[in-house]
Amino acid sequence: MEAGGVVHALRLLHRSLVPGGVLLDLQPAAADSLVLAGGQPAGWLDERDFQRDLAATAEGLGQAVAEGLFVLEDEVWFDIVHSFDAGALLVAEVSGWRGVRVPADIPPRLRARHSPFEVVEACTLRRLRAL
Amino acid sequence: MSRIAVHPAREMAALSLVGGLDDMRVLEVGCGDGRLTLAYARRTRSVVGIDPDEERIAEARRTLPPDLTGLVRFEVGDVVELLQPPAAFDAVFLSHSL
Repeated sequence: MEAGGVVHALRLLHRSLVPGGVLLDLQPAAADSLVLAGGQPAGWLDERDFQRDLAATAEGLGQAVAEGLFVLEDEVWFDIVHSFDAGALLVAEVSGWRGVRVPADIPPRLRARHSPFEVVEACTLRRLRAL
Repeated sequence: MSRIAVHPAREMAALSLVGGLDDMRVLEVGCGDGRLTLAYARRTRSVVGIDPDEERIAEARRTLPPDLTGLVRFEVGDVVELLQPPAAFDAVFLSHSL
């Protein structure tokens, strides 16, 4: 979604909230996700296209704050771990994620290793207050 | 059978750190199959979960426990086409959705 679309969506959501209501925004952080196999690093996903979407979202959120719709109150960072029974399943699933590509050197590493197969996705959770 | 798992414990811990959603009327945007919704819904006053993916909403409805049927509602849709009365929610939870 473009920044203008994000602002439009946030205006609609602001209208749905009671005065002083809470907006919680859970998003991947601006960092590529780490692939692990057997507890060892197997490479980083290529998320350049997705990072562009995230930048547009951040810009839109910033505009909504500048408009006085919301104020940022708190933000935490944490990891989400996606676990897969098989390396091939990891590749198939992740290849379907928007704006994410599995680099060519990762599948051979997964084939050579044992489970668990995991993707560690860095995330942020922001709490904003409707004004 | 192959399986994918994402455990909600870390998301729940993060939710708690930013104040949680206890006793609130919640709109969750991008609820998907309701994996995270079901983890926090019991502490809320009510939840409406929306997602544009019909298959994932169907899965969310299938896996909704009987004791949550009066508390949680899943609908196909997105923010722009959302038709809710003004001030209908205490909290909006955007889950990987903007």
